[in-house]
Amino acid sequence: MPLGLFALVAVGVHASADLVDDKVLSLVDALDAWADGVLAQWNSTAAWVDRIGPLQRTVIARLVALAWELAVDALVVLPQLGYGEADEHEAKFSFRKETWRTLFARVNRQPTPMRLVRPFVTAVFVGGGAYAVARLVESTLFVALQADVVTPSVAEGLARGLGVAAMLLVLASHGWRAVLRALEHADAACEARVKLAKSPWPVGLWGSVLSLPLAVALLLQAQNLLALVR
Amino acid sequence: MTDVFRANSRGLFDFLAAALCLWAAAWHTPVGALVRGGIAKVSGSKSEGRPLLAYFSGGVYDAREIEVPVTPVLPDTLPSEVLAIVPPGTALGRGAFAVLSRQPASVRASAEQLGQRYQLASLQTPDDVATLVSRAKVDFVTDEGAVLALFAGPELARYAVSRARAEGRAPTLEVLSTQLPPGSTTFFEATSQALMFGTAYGLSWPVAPSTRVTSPFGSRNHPTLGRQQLHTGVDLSVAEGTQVKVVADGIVKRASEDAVNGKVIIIDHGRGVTTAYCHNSRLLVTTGEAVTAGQVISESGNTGRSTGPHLHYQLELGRRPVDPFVFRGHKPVAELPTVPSPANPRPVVPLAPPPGPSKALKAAFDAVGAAPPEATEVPP
Repeated sequence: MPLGLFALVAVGVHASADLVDDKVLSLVDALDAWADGVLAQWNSTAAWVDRIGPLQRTVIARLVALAWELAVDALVVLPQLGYGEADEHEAKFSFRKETWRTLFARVNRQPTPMRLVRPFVTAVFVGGGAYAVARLVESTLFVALQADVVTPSVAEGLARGLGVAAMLLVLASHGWRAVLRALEHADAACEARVKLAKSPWPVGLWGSVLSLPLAVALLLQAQNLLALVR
Repeated sequence: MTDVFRANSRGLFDFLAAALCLWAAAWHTPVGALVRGGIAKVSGSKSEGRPLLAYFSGGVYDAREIEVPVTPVLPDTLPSEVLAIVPPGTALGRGAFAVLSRQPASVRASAEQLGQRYQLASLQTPDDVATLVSRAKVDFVTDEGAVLALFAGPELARYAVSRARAEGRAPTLEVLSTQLPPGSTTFFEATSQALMFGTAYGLSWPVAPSTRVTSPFGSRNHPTLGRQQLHTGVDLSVAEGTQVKVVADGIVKRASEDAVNGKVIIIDHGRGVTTAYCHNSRLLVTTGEAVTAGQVISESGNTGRSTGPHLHYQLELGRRPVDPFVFRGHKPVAELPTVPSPANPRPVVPLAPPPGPSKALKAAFDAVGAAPPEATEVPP
């Protein structure tokens, strides 16, 4: 289960990193143009102009996107591995409304960036991840079925149905658990800081700052979900 | 939920969901690629994972795709590069034909079947492929969809296009590549290469076609730096103030000035194709502006690191500089065989950009014939 949660959120993080890499490339292009302009002003540095070609700029931009994704994986997704349902009591505990109520009450009482951002970004990544799973199931089934088994239109209908079913299954089984774990982790990290008589505000700030733009980028593509019913 | 499913059923569903998530992560994320690569290394098997950076932007229009080695059988009479010239209008067909010729027999047979579906007896020439693409476009909406149908088959292409449209996104190749499972990568590589080549073959020339080339593409001793360096474009000898025309529709990515390139314009033509025009005396467009083929975008000059008035014209495919002469399509060429024969078992195909300098290419163009010089041109 913890591995499944990690995988689900990681897929969502990659879906959003894939959306922003073009923006990163534009930024790298603009930085390179600016640097070329500066370097070209002096004879001693003019030879450095155009040293970084378009191919290198693409590689740099993709490396930045990859590093961004891996950083979010490490800071935000990795704690999902801490999810545990060792016994039936714990399993029931996570189903209970009181668990959610208690955690949200703490968020209300002492809102910190981590308590506010982590559940939100995790929920968005879960949505993106579940959609990616649905699309993978749907396309793989379509390719497998349409070859010899059934007509393409039947294959498309079957694949679509099973894709939607896969998404619902993943959300029902893993979606809420991932959000709960994010809330729980944020709460535990903040509480540990409070016990040390320090402000919980800066806890997990890097993870929040890095993950929020990715989540927003993914949210802006939310209309893609409509494809499941079109 | 507890009322609907028994505990052990829930366990099965949870397991299934976890398995699906792990499967998706293994195929869809760089982390998954790292893990699969590690497993392959330990087990001594070959990893099927793409390079890590190819997990971004669908891996289409990448420079690595134009590095495919090509060894066509060519007549001895003309340099091979001359064969790359195509008349305007069949550019996409030429690009697709070039890539199709290098595909496995199964893909070529599937393309032939698609051709028959669109009343084409065979796909022996670039024109046949151009006709097929234009007919298929009616069903597959865009060039991207039609060319994908050529390599992946009509059903997969139709599916990818319909899913892209269902998402409300334009069916660009990047979007289409996200609609099919990971095993379809090779189809998208072929399609993106065909579209890149096709777009490049459709480019015109920024100044008069017969303009003298003072420095061709390739490695050279740099005139001002005095060391061996790759010349990433061609230097065209034009007088200061000569009108420079954009070679195809596109968007201005950069219109700026620096001490090396002088006043420079970079145009993005889409499908991984960009062109650059350096050392101008005056820029007539601004960054972000849309330009149409033949539009005057600047006046040539001698700005930046330049030893005399000229235009440095550069073509990039997949963000890698290539020799623009390879894709130049404005000079007349003799009729050349494109159909496979016993003596020439492989059809003559346009080349992937050659890695070295192209002085022979320039000489070949000059030998083939030039258009009458224009008023703005500097006599050789």
